Amino acid sequence: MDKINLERFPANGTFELTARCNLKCKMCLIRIDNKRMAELGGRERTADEWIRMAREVCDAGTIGLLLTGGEPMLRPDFIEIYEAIAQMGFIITLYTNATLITPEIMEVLRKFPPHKIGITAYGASSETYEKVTGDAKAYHRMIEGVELLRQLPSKIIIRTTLIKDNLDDLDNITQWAFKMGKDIEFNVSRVVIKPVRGGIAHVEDCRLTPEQNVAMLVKRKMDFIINPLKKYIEENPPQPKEGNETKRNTEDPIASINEKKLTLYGCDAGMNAYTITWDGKLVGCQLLGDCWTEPFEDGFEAAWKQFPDKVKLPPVSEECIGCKLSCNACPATRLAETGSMGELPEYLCKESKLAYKMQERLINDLKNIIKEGEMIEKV
Amino acid sequence: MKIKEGFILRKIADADIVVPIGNNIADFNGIITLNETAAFLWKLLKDGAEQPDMVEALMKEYEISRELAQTDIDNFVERLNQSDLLMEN
Repeated sequence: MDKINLERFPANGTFELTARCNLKCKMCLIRIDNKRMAELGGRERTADEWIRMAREVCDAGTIGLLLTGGEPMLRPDFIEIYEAIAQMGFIITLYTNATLITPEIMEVLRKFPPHKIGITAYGASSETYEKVTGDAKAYHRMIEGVELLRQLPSKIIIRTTLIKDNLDDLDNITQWAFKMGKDIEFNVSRVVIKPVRGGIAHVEDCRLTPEQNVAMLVKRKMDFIINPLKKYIEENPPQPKEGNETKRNTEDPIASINEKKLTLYGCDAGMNAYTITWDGKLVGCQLLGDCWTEPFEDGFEAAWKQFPDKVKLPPVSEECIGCKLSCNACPATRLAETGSMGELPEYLCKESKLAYKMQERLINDLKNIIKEGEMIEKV
Repeated sequence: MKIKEGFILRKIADADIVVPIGNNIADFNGIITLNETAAFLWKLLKDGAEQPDMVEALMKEYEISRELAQTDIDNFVERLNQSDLLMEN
């Protein structure tokens, strides 16, 4: 029996406290400067407004709250906002580049540590930081910041994004991250997409080619090879040896219950998750800016309720509908790459096709190795 | 005795959950789910209610016997003690 999940509940929220940043990362999706801010015509919300909004989303049942930017610590009132929100009973995640941590910020973080801290690290030297972020000195400030944040009981995630300028530094970044210990998680972004909501970076100049991206994927993600191999072995099990083997049902009994979920964009965006942008718009996720409601003007409850009526998805390109590969295209990435939520995003498409071709080659090689092994066993 | 500082009881949809904040996240980096009775007792303990008051309140709220109320409270307090969630008034 199909079970359809009709619940729509604002469980996870993102507060984008600012879209400004002290670094000028070449691949940033979000960053705007004062000039662009003026062009876009919005204004950053005040500390009082964010604190009031936090109370509203708390009453509405939000449990996970991500505080992010831009760089949230760039705001002179970051401490005021953080200290109030951290006491309301959210599971707080804080995203930061760790380069602006003052003794005063550490004092409040020691008092109310975030449950999780995501720290972006874009290189393992001043030279790489200069190339990626435009600020060589930021490297040492980041290292110092990470050392401070590691003193907190928070879960730490080091997040990096690979572009042409830091590709050669990946091994050093990885080594540095792993040296900190097993309790530190290390994440590398899968692909870089074009800026969203007026972001000013020019990612086409710096992002990896689809070929470089796939090479990196194979290098870092052994799951990419192991999972299809596991599937191959499951589908082609070794022949059972003669004897009294127990018959076993290999079907997953739970998988037979087909759980279906209603979505707006094909994911949790707008259904169980939302973002409130620096200028006070409620959107489905931080990458979306296609439609919005106004929680500061109308109240969160009303803005959350109105949101689904605003979502209008255009038809998806024929080529995508006919494609059986799973890729990184979603309404948000399509919008960023092509300007429409239905168009085929060439960059992501090429990258996915290459990745699958590489995967196919690897599986074939492995199949041959397995066959050779079986022949050796027979001899 | 009462519940230690830094635990926030919240109603999320129909569930009562406790979110640790402050340095409690070192020991409870996640949430604690309470059933309805536990949430009722949690609120009383948070306000520093004494055991006899809790027994009376539980009997009244759920129309149960004194013995059953006392057993429920003993079990709840034991679980809180095991998790080091209580402090002296």
